[in-house]
Amino acid sequence: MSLRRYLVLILSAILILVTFTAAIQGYKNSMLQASSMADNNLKLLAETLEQLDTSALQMVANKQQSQGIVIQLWQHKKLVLTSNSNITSPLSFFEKGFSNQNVAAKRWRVYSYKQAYTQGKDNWIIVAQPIAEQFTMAEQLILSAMTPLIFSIPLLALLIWFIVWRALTPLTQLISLLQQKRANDLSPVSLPNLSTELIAVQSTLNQLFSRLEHSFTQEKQFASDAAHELRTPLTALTITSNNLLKEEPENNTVQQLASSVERMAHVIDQILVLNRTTPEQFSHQLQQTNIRLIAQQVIVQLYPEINKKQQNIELDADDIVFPSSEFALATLLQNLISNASKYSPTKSSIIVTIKKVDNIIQLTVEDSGEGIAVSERDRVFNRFYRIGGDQHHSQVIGCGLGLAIVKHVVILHQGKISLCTSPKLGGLLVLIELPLTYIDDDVGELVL
Amino acid sequence: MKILLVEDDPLLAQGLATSLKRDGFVVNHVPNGKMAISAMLIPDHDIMILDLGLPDIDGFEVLKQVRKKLKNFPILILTARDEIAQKVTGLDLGADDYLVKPFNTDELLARLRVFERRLGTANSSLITINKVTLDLAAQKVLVDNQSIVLSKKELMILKSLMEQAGRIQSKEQLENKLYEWGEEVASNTIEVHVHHLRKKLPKHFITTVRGVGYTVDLT
Repeated sequence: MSLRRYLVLILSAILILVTFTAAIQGYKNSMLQASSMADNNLKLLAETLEQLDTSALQMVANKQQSQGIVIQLWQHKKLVLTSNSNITSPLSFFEKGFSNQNVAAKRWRVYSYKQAYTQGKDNWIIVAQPIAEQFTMAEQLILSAMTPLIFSIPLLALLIWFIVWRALTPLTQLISLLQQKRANDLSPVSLPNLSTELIAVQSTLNQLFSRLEHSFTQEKQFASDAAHELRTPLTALTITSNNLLKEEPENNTVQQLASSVERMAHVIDQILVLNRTTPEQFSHQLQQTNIRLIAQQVIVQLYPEINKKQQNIELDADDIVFPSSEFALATLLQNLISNASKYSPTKSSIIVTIKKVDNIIQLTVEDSGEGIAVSERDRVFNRFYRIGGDQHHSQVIGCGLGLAIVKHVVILHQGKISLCTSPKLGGLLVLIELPLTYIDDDVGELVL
Repeated sequence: MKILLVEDDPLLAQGLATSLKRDGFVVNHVPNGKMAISAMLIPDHDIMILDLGLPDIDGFEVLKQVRKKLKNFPILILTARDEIAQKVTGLDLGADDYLVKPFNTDELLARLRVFERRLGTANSSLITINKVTLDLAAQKVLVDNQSIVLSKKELMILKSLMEQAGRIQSKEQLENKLYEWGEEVASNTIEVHVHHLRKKLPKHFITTVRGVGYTVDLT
């Protein structure tokens, strides 16, 4: 439930509840007041009647009848005078004071008064008024007082809605501003006319954004620094070990050294690649990229390696231009094609196809190597996992990061990867499906 | 060929110098940008191998300064930065080639030989691969010591394939080279030229890599 709805509903509900409670309380009190006022009137009337003689009494009684008040004068339990000839029974049991009685299918409020000055005579003046009439009057009074209060409720509710809407508008603006922000946009937000509380929220958010941005740039800087710092000594090491190998080509130790250096260079390179393609950086690097040209470049680059094994490589690619990162795409193809070459025998074939099927790019790399057993197909995507561990029988230098990197890049593209057996070549077939359009939202948790 | 090696890492410089000297290059090493610029004042070198991460002046700055004075001097950049933007900047500023660390010594030597041939320094204007000899100075091709006649475009294609033997030249790359020669290129022109070339050369001399391009194998 939105905060605005909640506030309007709860405030209106409280308003209605409080108003009605007050109204009911007021009604009760007013009724009490009204009935005691009516009682007083009856008593006053009775006391006034006592002063009058019979003829005057009769006159007053006739007048009072129009107001529904009934007056009876009893002498020695005999009705001497009445204002209502329909009621001939006594309206009370000749007890002094007020009582409620049921007479002639009506409920009456009765005041009985025994005349004091007629000594020896049993004279009673009984004044009665129907209770219903007493209340009707009181109710009319109370209702006219309460009605404006009831009618003001919708107006107040409207006012509450308006005030809440006004007060929450900056918050809504802030929320929509944040919702519109792209995943990689860490620029500060700024809204005019904010309340003190929201200014605090905004400045805290902006501080958080700037801290995040700072650490992102720092992380990127670190990756780039590390790349530089590691690459130069690595090159020195590679070249020196290579020189040594050329000087002493038969020396076993030197051969081992050279291959260890090569392996280390490979591992470090792969780790740097992994660190360079974070989701944030990826969405930053997105640009229209022709996948066929990238595949060509990668094959050109890997050709010496492929040619050394006298392998035959074929590329069957459509010209597909889609938003991607040249670096990420080249890394993906490099790992797949290099793997295909490394794990296939000499003079074998490698086929790379890139086709557009509906709105999906289907990329396959097929070889005629041993393939990957079904039971291993999930695990090969784990970092640093190699089939058979370090005793990998192919004697190929590797660190178990290649397919992890490939999967990483596929996830960055919001694509899918699957492994199966190549029907044409009998080896591994890697099928990658990449969507043509990139949806810029959370890239999701990277399962690495 | 005399190489000016600009590299601040002493171990790498030493290793490279050893490697290059063994392959017959003369190497002069300077460890920073200032010395590189002043070394360029004397026209003593044929090519500069320039590391971009120098301690005093940024490599790009050195590149700019040298380019200002020597328009056609060959410069090969070595760098630990492999972002595409950096690569583009380097080439835009007039670098002729670009190698990212860590690189293979053989890769560097192959690229240097391309420069060497381009410069036409003695004994390197002849490229011989598999009984086919390309004489760059005379613009002639010999197969089994028999001179064969090639058209200008065929010669151009063969030259770029043989200069970069062992590497694939994509159809687009070859087309771009024809454009440089001021030719209009129809979409299948390269295929036609290669087809004609093949008839005049030994069998399997030019290998087709389907979907990628053509190559002349070194062996």
